[in-house]
Amino acid sequence: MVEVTTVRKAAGTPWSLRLAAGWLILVLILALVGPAFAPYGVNEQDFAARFAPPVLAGGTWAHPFGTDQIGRDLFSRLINAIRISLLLALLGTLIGMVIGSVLGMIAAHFRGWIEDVIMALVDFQAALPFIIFAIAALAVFEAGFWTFLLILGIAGWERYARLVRALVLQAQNDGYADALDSLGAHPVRIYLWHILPNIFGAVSVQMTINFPETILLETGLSFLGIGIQPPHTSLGLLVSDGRPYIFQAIWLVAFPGAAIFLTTLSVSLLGDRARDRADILTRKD
Amino acid sequence: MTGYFLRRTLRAVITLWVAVTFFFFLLRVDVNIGLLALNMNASQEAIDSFNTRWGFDKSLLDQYWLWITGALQGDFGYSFRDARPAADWVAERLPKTLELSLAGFALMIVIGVPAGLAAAIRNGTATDRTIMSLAAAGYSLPSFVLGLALMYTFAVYLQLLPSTGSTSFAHLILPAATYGLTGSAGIARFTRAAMLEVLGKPYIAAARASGAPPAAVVLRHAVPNAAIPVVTMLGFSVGQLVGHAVIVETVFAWPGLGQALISAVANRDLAVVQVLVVVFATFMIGANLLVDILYGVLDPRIRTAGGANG
Repeated sequence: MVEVTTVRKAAGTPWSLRLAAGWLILVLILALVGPAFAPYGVNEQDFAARFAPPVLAGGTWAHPFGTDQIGRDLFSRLINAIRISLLLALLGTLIGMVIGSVLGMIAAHFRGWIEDVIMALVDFQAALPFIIFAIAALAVFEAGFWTFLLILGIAGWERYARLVRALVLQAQNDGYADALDSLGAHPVRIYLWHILPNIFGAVSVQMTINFPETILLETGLSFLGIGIQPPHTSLGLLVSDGRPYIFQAIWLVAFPGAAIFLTTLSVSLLGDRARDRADILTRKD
Repeated sequence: MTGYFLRRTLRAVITLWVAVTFFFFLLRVDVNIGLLALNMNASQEAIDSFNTRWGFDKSLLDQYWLWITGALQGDFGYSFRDARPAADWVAERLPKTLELSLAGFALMIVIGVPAGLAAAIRNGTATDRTIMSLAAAGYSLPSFVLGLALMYTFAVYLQLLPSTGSTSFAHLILPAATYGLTGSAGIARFTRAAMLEVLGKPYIAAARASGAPPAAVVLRHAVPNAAIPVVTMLGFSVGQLVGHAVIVETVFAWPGLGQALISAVANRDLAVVQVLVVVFATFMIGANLLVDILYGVLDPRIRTAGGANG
């Protein structure tokens, strides 16, 4: 046990994880402050510079990442798209975590028929592809930002519910919850102040799995044209916008595509590492 | 034994019924379907006659009863757009989706399983790390980005393959490759984990200690035991495949069910959306049932114990 951890520490953090962390920090900074420094507006058109290539392909620094079919600056659009996509993925992950955790706690606290109903809902959700739910819901609701966010948030709730229910049942056997209960503490207080901090490690590992999936779902639905709607933009919508021009302007697809890929990959790599660590910490044998 | 299969089948039928009912009401949450399907400028008379024509003036429960009794006889209503039976959409497009999905699924297995086995057998070596890095990358690469990258490389740059359409075998290659490569990453990871677990079992150590050649230990003792969880995982991954099918078909303009679903959503053609949703749900629930039954056949402990979840 102890040996394993020391060997890992001695080996240092692999360069892939450093790059992943570096990329995420860069993307976060871009999302937070980038739009304020974007050289052009999201929908600002420059007809004189349609299909301007990026600097790397012989373009000029006026449009470092090139422009699209109506001369919109890809760099400025990319920064705004990163902000929207990250915001949707972060909030979406949080919403799913809150819904699932609360339902999981309710199931574990009340047991009986309430637990049966919640777990039947969990099984039902797990028995169907979520993307079909999302597409059907987007067929009837006007796809505004908040509706879309709620749909993304619901994705994955069933896994949090299952996990939290199991963890809470385990925690109830640990004695400290009983002790607090006999001291007269209110159940809500026990759950939020005492059990939640104890199970938060496992829940946050689940979040690192859920986060890249939410990005992929959001960009996928936006790519299909049923997610984020113009004038807003998202990384998936940028890829979709660039797709008809793949023959003459590959950069319109390449930059947003790479941004999605690097972001999901970075979170997955860091999440895998966190999961390995959690395994080492919790393994009983 | 028959009890186990009957329970599983009954459970699948109930899940399907709940799913169908759920989607029926979800698609009718918005009361003013006429306004949605026609457009904002439609007159009240046009909306009223639309609602009468498609039965939206009846109560929800009446509509539900009509729909479900019709569906049981193969009548899934009519497309708002061209007034053809919605079920015709499925009949026309199902072969295309099956062609792409089966080709993609076969590629997924052919790439994913050997990669996972190789990584597990060479655990901790450079081979293992390379395969797992590729798998991590494949897992994070959205299928539409991979599809467009393949399209750019092979159709635009090298001009070897057609970019979109479905008229020849050459048209199948890029979509099937996209489908197979995206899915194989998850399979490789899972196969590796299942194989590593089996390789750590005492009976493998015993087989090795008995002097059996390493290849025989792997092929005869480890692979068959690792196969059960891998087969299960393949069955349960059908849900993700539905998502892949929708996106890959859209990228390559492949005229299958997924592409039909997206255009029906864009047109607010609810009868078609409804029937397609039912078809996709049936696929996934059917695949899960198949896995349960296979599992019961392969592993007698499960059917006698009633399984982990009933």
